[in-house]
Amino acid sequence: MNGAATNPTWFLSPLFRWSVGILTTAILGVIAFQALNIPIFSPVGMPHEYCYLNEGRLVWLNVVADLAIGISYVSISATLAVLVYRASKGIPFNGVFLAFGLFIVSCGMTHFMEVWVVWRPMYWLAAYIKVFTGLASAATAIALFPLVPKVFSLIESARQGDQRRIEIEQLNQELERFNYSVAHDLRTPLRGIVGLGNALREDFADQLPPRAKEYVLRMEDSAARMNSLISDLLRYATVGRQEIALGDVALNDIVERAKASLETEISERKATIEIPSSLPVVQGDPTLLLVIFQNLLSNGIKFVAKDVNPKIEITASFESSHVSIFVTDNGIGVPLANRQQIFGMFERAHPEFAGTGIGLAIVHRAVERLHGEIKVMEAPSGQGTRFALRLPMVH
Amino acid sequence: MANRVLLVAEDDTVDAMLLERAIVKCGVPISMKRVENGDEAIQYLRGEGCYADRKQFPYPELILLDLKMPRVDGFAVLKWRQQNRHVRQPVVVFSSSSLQQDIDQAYALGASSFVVKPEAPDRLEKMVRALSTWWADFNVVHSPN
Repeated sequence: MNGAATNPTWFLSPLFRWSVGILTTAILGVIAFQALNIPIFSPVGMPHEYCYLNEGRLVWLNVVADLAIGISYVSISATLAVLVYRASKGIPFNGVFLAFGLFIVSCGMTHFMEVWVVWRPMYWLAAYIKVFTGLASAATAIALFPLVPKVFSLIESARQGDQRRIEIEQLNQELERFNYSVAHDLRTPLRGIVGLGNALREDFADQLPPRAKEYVLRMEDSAARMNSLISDLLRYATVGRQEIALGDVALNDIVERAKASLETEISERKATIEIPSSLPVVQGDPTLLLVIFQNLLSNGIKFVAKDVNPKIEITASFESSHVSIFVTDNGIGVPLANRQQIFGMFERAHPEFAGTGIGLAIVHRAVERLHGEIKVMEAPSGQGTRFALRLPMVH
Repeated sequence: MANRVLLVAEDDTVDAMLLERAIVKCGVPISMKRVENGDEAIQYLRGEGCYADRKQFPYPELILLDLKMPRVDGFAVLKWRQQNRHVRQPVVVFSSSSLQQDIDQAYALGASSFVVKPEAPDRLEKMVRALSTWWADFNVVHSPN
């Protein structure tokens, strides 16, 4: 602190102002009490004469006050004890809290002794309790000093933690927007290629030889394929990063919605999807679960021989805390050699079928984020694939 | 039925070309006038500068507005339109963005409708037909003061 003599504004410092304030209040209080005839100073010779023979009112005033203080102190320390034991992991410095509690309890005891001593002359016991209180409070006072910087550093790191969380959230949102922008800007010229190719074939149909038309068609297909790739990549990035809302999800609801979203494909291929009515309620995020089932069902419809009607069966097998959902199709199956990597990016076991190779990578990422498991195996019938999805169940 | 004037604000030349082609192919009674960014769109609506000749650049009865345009974008046009109450023809936002915040912002700034640009050519034609039926055939225009 700057020398008070040299710093002309010392009388504006908080310390000075607080001191003046307290002193003024005390003086005003005394004057007020005197004016209203509320006794402050008792006209006695030796202090402590009040205890027995003089003012009865004074005795009771002290007794009641001491009782109230004693009860409050015991209550406070009991609350502190409960707080410390209930949240024993969350509260740092619980040693100091206990010391503090002990000090308060013993302080309460001294007040109870003040009451007791009005009727019974147990002055030595009262003195011992006061000594114990003195020691406890001294210990707490000493233990408190080194805690001050620790508390400040705790507050600081909590604030930094909050700050970091906000920054990460902002970064995530920026990244999300960036991804979306990139995907959007990549798709615009593709839309142009598809549109112009289509216009070329239609407007100049009689001038284009069949070979030329074929070239243009394949060009449009390439562009469309790239479009799907971009969509799927964007979805993969989103699934990997979006915030999960874990809650109780009714799987029947999710599977029905997934099925509804594939209406067109289902009617085109005349596919059937069998869903039992008794699918359980699981712990998960509805958006991620929807993506998982949409992809699995879509695969089951797509990867089927041309002349076969796709048939997908969904079944469940219950364990104590988890459930395994099986999605079984009658498609072309996944060869043993590919089963290890089928969930990898751009992995396509059957390139002759349309697909980006990202669908199952999305499923795998989503399952990972839900802390579940997914496995692929041969369908029990011998023709087709079975996916086993294991999730925690909610009873 | 006389042709309704449609003002299209679109910076991508191919998108504009394909839209015009779809309009012609569907044979709907729509005359398409194109501007390339928000600046030009506002000038056209005001009848300013090179757009002063209302014979060549008739006042539109419907506006198709892209969002992502250079310099002055679709949102700026919407904002301007909100502040100029006499500009009253419906504005259909025609954007390749399906981001919820873009949709929300467009409606908050007074868009009459929001359409995501169709990817497939036959869907574009379907949209043009629907656009014509609703906004040119059925919708009654608010005439400017």
